[in-house]
Amino acid sequence: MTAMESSPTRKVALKRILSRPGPFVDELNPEAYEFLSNMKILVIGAGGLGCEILKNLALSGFTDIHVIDMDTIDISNLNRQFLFRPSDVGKPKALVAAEFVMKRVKGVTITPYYGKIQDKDESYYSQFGIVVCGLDSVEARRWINATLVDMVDAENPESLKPLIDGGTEGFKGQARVILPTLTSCYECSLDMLGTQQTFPICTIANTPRLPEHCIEWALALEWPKRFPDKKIDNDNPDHIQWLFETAIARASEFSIDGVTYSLTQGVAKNIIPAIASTNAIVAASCCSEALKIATSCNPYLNNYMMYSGNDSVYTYTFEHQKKEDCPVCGVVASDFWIEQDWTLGLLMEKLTTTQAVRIKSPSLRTAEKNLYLQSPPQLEEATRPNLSKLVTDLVKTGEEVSVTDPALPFSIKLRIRY
Amino acid sequence: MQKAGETDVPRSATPHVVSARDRKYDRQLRLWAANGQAALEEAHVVLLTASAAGAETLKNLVLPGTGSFTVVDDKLTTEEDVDVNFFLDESSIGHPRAAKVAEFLQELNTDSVGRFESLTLSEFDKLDPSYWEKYSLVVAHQIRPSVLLPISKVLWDKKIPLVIINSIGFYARLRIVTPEHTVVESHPESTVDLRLDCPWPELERFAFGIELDGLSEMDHAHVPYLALLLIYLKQWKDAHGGSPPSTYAEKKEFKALIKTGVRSSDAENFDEAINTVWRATQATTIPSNSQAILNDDRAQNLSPSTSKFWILARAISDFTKSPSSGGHLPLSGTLPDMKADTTSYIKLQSIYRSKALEDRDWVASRVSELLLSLGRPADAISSDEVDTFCKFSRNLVVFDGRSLEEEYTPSTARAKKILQELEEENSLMSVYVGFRAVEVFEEREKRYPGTVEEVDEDEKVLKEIALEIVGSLGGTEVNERTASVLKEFVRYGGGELHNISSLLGGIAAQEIVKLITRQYVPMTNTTIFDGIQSSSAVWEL
Repeated sequence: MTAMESSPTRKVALKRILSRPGPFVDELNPEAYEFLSNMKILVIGAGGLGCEILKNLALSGFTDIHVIDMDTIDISNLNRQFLFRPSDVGKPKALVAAEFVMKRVKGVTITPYYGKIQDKDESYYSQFGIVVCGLDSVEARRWINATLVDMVDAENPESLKPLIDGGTEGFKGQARVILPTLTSCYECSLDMLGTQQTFPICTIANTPRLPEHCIEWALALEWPKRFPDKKIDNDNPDHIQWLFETAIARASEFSIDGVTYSLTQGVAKNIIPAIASTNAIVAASCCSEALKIATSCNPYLNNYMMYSGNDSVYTYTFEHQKKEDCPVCGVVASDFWIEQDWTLGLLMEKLTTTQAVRIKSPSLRTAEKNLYLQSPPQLEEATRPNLSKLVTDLVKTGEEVSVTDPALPFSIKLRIRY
Repeated sequence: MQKAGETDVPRSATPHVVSARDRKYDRQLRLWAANGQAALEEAHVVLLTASAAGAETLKNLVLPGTGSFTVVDDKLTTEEDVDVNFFLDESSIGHPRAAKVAEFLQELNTDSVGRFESLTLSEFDKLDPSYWEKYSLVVAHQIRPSVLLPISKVLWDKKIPLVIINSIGFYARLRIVTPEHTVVESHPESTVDLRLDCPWPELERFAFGIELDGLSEMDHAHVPYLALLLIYLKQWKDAHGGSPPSTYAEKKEFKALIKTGVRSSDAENFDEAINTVWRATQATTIPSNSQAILNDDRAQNLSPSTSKFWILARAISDFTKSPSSGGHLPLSGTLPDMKADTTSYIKLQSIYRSKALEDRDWVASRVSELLLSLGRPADAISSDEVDTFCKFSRNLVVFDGRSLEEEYTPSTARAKKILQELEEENSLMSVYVGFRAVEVFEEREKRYPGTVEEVDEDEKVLKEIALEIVGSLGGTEVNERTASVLKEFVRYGGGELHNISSLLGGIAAQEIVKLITRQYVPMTNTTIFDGIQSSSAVWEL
């Protein structure tokens, strides 16, 4: 027991709720407070949501908090990531955030890890009671979601780790509770993500109309032509400046208005607007659910809440349904309909743009053979000729194709139909 | 490190310089732009009661750069405060809350200037009303109605918005009190306004100048769908005595007509045309919301003290009555992206822009006349303001607020609405009644229900109070759901849960940013958040 726990004058409001029965709960857990302060909880992300989540958990009675983040602090974080000061720019977020909250809130230990979630394995994740995610990356969410689903062992209830996930964009956001294998998982709802703004290459190359088309031209076509060996660095002002000037020249050639430096940055970095207040709403909602799950002091969210503040205050709370053919938690392969004239190359292209698949560099194989493999190089070379072949010549209708991507710890099973 | 053979990215001779300030605020400038930011930086927000919910609200306003803030509170920090408020720490215990909270908030952003004042509740009504004039907005947390009602009256008369927040256990409440709020930049999903049912001569000339049959395959696939729609609409009208397709069957037939023009499989522009038939055949009208604003007395009877919004609304109203408008609002001039070759798209864009400019010029000169007639300089409203107003004239927002007095006086309360809502399953109105009952309890007992060991008596008293409130509105009982919510309130003993206070601080700050920047659409006027069900409700009370 920590000094804090033994002090009857501390956390009075919280202890009062935990020790009194409520009209909306069946049973009181007499050890709720103890359980809460002994539970290890993991926070993924120490950015806009992460800063809020760490603060909230520390003030909710959690005392053993861990945090993972691979980023360092940028000046554009300071309008909302309130644990950071201008003098912290360049330092790892996880370390600075952990130190700040520990200094402010007595009796809380926060263990930071500056690195990627993929550096850790099941033995690491299995030590936690709950995982709270405040990420801005779809890929990282898919990874942790699949990892936690995979960890579930039906024989061992401890192996099921509730995953609470938050996300924001401008005045909007969402919070959800995922009980791996029991409720719908992150992968089940992939098709709910907004479509990524993409422009057809032929528009960019031949018929630009919008300032975005000109920026995309500089980014996707001119840059690789001009600097074939150099990857664009979105944080290098010389690079953004070059894109900006190249896009401006393109725009004036076509009399297109509206290419600005800010828009260039926005398109190149795929910037999503972010503000303190929305982070506060979503992070608090996530942590409130964590507290309810850890203590059973009230029923927890089943399982999704959307928030929108653009027009009035609006929330929509609903149960997102589990997908039977979810590639992560489902039991059956999903059907994927193709046209007779599709080549394997075209199928690959379609897979990268399909909402429910969203895979960047797919490798495909059937139970019998490799259709196309991105690596190693000798297998890539060996399977490359298949790209121009018709899918109908490679796969029978109804046959299962497994799609993998190095970024994802699972494979997507598609039943090809034509 | 550079590998051999790599080309260096040339350094620009005239690089675009982004100030540190713009870099810091980049992610929010994309939402409310420089004019919204300027409004925020001019604002002075005062917080009454340095609670967790109050401090969290200010946090979300200091971070984006609100010009100044003041924390007003007379209490010394207790352990209970430190347990829930991140802007207090162990060293604050025994020291004034206002000073410590202001100090910790100040650390978040040096662009924001923070102050604190020690004022007790009983001192508020002795204040000279002019005290409040330095503030652009007041946030009040958990202040008993007998103190808050008089303050709200002063603020109402001075047109200073009051945002009331309450956070108890898993329940939160937000109330905005302001007599009038107007929004021009409401940020609707789209400002597209195509006018295909009533094209003007330049637009017709453009569309009818296209000879579809004579076009190459390539050009045919790049005729903008707007032109396609105009061409086929004309064909249709010529064959139907001048009337556009109006019934479902006719629209279906019209789609089929467009389809006859498709030449190759690459006919994205034809697909776009077919998908837009429904919108294209809608008559362009003035939305009833906007019409009501144009007809409003405040626009029709201007006085020397009329605000810019209503002068602009009047100018637009006059525009819609002028022959040059054809009875329409000014054109927004926004053209959506569509499959098209660059030249036709840019040409079409300039046709829409020119028409929008023409409408704008008419409105601008009318605005100058109106200003002069009111004895104000002809340029008191800038051309940018006229521009924005014209662009968003389909989406103007006016809220006429209800005072706190109207809400709290049974004869003017929204009694029917409240009683009706209470009947709904899992109604959040029960939580509203709970908050009102807790206020009365605290006012009478000078403590919150549930702060004693034995709670049965508190539960009984709170239920009696709730019955008084429901009864004053014409109701006869406290239903089962409300009784449960009251029990839950007693369970909390008036204490704040940090998560719920933080969530409320987020909602309140979003609303305050909307009120201060006059962008986006604020909530009117009460929000209840229920952290048990994770849901919210909004009512005008």
